[in-house]
Amino acid sequence: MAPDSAAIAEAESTAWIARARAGDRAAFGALVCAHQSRVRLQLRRLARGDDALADDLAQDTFVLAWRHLAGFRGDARFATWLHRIALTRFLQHVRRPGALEDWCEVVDAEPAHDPRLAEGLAYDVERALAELGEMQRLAILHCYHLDLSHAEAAQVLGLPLGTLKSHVGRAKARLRTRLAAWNPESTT
Amino acid sequence: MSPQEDPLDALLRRHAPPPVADAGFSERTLAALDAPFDAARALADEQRRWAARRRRWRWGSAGVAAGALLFAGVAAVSPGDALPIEIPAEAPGSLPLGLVMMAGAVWYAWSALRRG
Repeated sequence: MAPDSAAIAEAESTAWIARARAGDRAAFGALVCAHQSRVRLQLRRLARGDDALADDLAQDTFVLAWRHLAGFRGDARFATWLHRIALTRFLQHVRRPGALEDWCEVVDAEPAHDPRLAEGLAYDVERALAELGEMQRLAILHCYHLDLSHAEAAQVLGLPLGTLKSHVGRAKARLRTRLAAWNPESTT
Repeated sequence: MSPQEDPLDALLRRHAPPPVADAGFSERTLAALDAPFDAARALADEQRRWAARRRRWRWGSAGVAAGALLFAGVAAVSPGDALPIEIPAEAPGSLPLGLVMMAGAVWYAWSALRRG
């Protein structure tokens, strides 16, 4: 997204949030439409292919956001706040509230499962991502696929910024090696 | 891709999963806003229970580590037979085994404390 359109979208979001806080459901509906894809993407990734569960949790996320909209102070972007609620709701569902690292250890002990099919480079990228540790995968997801900054991703995942950067750095080092055959250095 | 962007960054962004189609999700979510929903309360309760469990576990681990270290310390500084440890003749391996178990308990307690 170009900087100008991002600024316009953020300004629109701010206006919708103000109206939603005043009880305007249509404005909240606009926020749901604008953010549903990324929140569901985040939860589908966390739920490891269980799309129905991910969508149920995404719905809970928006209902929680609606009920706690007064608590959104605007210190962070609305998207960051939503992703944090979604992650908290997911951890509560798997009965590991506030313990993302515990959850990642459990996931890392299980065989990788990725039901999506792809071909060529896309297939290799997915395979390479699947071979990362869960925390590294989540760091890549939040920084590259959900378009959050490192600081925002750290806030969502509840990690110190340095730790998040370290996970991203290690993940990229492994991906660079794994995808060397595609010569990502020359990819444009 | 901007001139300074890492090619791997561009590759990862280009291979992001496709957007999820709404397919009625927003409508269902808006309809659910007024439905009875106790996830917020359940979440708070679960977090309180979890925090209490971790607190108990941390203090328990600290107790194990402190007890083991205290025992080792007292045994180390006790003169002569002030703290007799008798090794039964039929179980000569019990002292080394006990020491290994104590070291394991201290290591486990320490890692539990570090995980917080």
